Amino acid sequence: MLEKLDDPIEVLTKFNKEKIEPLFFKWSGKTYKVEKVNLVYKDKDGLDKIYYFSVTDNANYFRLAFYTRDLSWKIKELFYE
Amino acid sequence: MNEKIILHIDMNSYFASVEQQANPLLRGRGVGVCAYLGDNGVIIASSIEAKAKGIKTGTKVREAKFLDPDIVLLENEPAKYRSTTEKIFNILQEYSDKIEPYSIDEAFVDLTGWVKDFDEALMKSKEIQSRIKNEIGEWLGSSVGISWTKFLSKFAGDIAPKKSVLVIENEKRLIEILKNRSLQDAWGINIRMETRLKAIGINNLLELKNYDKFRIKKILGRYGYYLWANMNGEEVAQVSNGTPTPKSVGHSYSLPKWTRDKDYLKKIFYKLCEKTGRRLRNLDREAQNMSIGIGYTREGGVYRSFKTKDAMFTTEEIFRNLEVFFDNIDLIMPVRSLAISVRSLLPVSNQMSLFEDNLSKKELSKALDRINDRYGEYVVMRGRMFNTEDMAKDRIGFRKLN
Repeated sequence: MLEKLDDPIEVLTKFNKEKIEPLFFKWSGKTYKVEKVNLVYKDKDGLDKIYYFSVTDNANYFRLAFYTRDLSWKIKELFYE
Repeated sequence: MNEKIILHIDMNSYFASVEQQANPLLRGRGVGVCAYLGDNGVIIASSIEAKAKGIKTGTKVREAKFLDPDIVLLENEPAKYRSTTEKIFNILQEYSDKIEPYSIDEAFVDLTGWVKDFDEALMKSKEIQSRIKNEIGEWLGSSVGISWTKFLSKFAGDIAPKKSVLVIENEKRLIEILKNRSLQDAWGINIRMETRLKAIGINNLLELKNYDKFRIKKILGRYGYYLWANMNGEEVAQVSNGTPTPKSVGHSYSLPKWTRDKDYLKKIFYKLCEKTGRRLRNLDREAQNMSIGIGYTREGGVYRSFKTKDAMFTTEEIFRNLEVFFDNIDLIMPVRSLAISVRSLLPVSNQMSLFEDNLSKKELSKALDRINDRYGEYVVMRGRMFNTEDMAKDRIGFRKLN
């Protein structure tokens, strides 16, 4: 079941030398641990860049978006069986 | 030793694999990537699991649900595929300075001078396949063909088992592979050409290779000669660096609502003209010819190509030519698809029109494009485009790279 979302979230992020990696995020009062980052891709909105992180915890798939314009995060999709 | 070493890479079930890469819960399941999700939508790419159930590119959403009631249908997300392709091409660029993107999921790489022989090319291609999996995503499989011409490398990749590499390194190997191989296995031979070839006694690819060069040219013309040359390992087109400037630009749209309502259709046409105009202006070209297609719900439609009085550059100029044509036709059936393209692309002339101040309109168009480039698509738009946000959204085509 795929749900489209557009909610601001808090994300604990690791900034590595060449990439950034979301480790945990808080959404709807619950904290989720990112077990795996499956795909990272980017899109643009005018000159602003948006980085998408397709991630999974141990049961769900989430798509998180990082907005370079204001350094904010949102959850955009949730998929569960 | 042949002079050239060309590699062709083709990503397997690309859009669906990217979706399964992003979301591992979709792996092992039928996945269909669609232009849009309504029952009239079509599958533009299906996963290996969906293909096994008969769901291919072009299958209607309604049929796909019938063939696999558990299929997961997803609306296509161009940015996801383009961005992943960019990463794949970045890896390829480490192996040669001559990469020709052939489509969103295929490319030719000229390895000549970068490897010493076909054995090293085979090693490098396996390395590329594993790097794609390790650095971008483990679910992204690819087929690779290697040979001494572009045609043979693509042919090798097309007949190679999925996720593997096939090398055609010399004439002896080529003959082995072509023996009893069906004509339609070759890139560029469709049912019609197969019938023509069979009519002159060519029943498989080896027979095509062994046919008399002058005779085939006499019977089938230049195209027949190209087919013969391809089978004989003679290079017809070398690997170009980057994507060549297109000969035409255009857009098409399969309508979610089938209708004869001309006002609705005009709004969509206007948006297709804007998208076409944006690409034309990005190329810094103007166009002198236009093709329009209106597909009916049953078979047939109205298709017309014509030369325009003045060169087109702005969206308004494109739409005005289209509107004159569209206003004068009677739609005899509901319409299911619209298409527009412009051809005969030439550098922008800056020639003044006798009848209007076209130069300042060109400048205005460029200014509007710059605003949309900076602040996002459709931040500023013509009044005609109000309420068309959900119509003819960004779609991805296999030959389109951006």
